[in-house]
Amino acid sequence: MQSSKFIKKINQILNASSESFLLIALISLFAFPIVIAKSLEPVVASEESVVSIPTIIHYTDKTPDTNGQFASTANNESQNVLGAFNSVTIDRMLTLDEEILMSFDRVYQKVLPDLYVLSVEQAPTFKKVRLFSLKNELPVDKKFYISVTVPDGLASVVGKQKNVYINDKKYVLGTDDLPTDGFILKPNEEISVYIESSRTTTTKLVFGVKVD
Amino acid sequence: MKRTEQKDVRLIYDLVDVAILPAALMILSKVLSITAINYFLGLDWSVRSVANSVFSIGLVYNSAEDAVLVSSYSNLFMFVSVIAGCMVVTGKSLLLNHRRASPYFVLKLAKYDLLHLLKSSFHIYKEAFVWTTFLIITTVYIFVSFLLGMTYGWVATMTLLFTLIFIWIMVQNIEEELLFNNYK
Repeated sequence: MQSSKFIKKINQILNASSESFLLIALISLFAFPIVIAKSLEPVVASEESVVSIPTIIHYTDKTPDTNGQFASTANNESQNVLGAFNSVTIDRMLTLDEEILMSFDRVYQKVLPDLYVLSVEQAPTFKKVRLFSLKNELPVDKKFYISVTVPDGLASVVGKQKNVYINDKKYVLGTDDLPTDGFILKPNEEISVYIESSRTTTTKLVFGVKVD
Repeated sequence: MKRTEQKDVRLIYDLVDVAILPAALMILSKVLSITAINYFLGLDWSVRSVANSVFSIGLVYNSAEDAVLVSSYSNLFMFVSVIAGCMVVTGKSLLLNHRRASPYFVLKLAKYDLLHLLKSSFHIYKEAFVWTTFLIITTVYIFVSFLLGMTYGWVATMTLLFTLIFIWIMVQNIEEELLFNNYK
């Protein structure tokens, strides 16, 4: 007797829940096309808020002092040399004592959807971490400018072609361990940027494209 | 389970069953119309991450005029597809209602072995309810889109007008059905 009452109760609950489920399904069916239509609604480009593109940040043509430190830079020279262009800033936090697989390439593609730069890859190493490698695949009439801004608000410096290092002293070194000057990546040229440090650091990476 | 509860579940199940087609038609018409408009007008568009979009990506156009044009005509096309479905249901209620179909028409159907097309009032008006609901939802959506400046005024006006006309037709239809039932 008790068991049959229990079974009846379970049956009632199941029937009520199936009714509720069907009601929810019905309401979802009414709402779903509107949700899809809303997601397909066109957006005007100026309304995008994913990436704000600041103007160029830094460029320097100053040579380093004897300690290898760069003084503050002015960006007027850059405007003269490269003209007006857009640049995008990406902030990355790196922990160098661990192996990290950053999804940097996806971030890069996301923030720079209009650029043709592909082939971005990065891989951690033991003592120094390669932030990224990239190849300039822009059309020949566009100049690809790279600036790597180091932490703590120091003057940004630009990296050289081939390998660019950022060490614990917070400036960019070339392959010969000397601070490097600015550069423009030539078409089809590749560059790898490394960072060496024994501590967690934040590196701000700035890329620029000359817009004629 | 009581008989009435079983009927309720069955009714909701039938409504869900009927609602699948208009939902799919709305989505398909929206997608196809956007694709066709972009293709035939050669608009400059791209798919990018959009902050306040439902799925974090959206269609991005360089000019506001293009965006409004695509939005308006795709909404119009979506509305046309829904109201076409409503018209079909209205036609069914007039011609294929087994109570109101003329004997001559029934004979014609029998001749071509199409008697299964005749439906009960209950079935037809279930469909009518679902399609009318979708029509009203679409109209409200288009009107809100117009208020947000993403749809032309004439599109919103036209959809509202046609919706009101259709609802009036359905009300007339239901009144006739009720009169017919009372007469019977």
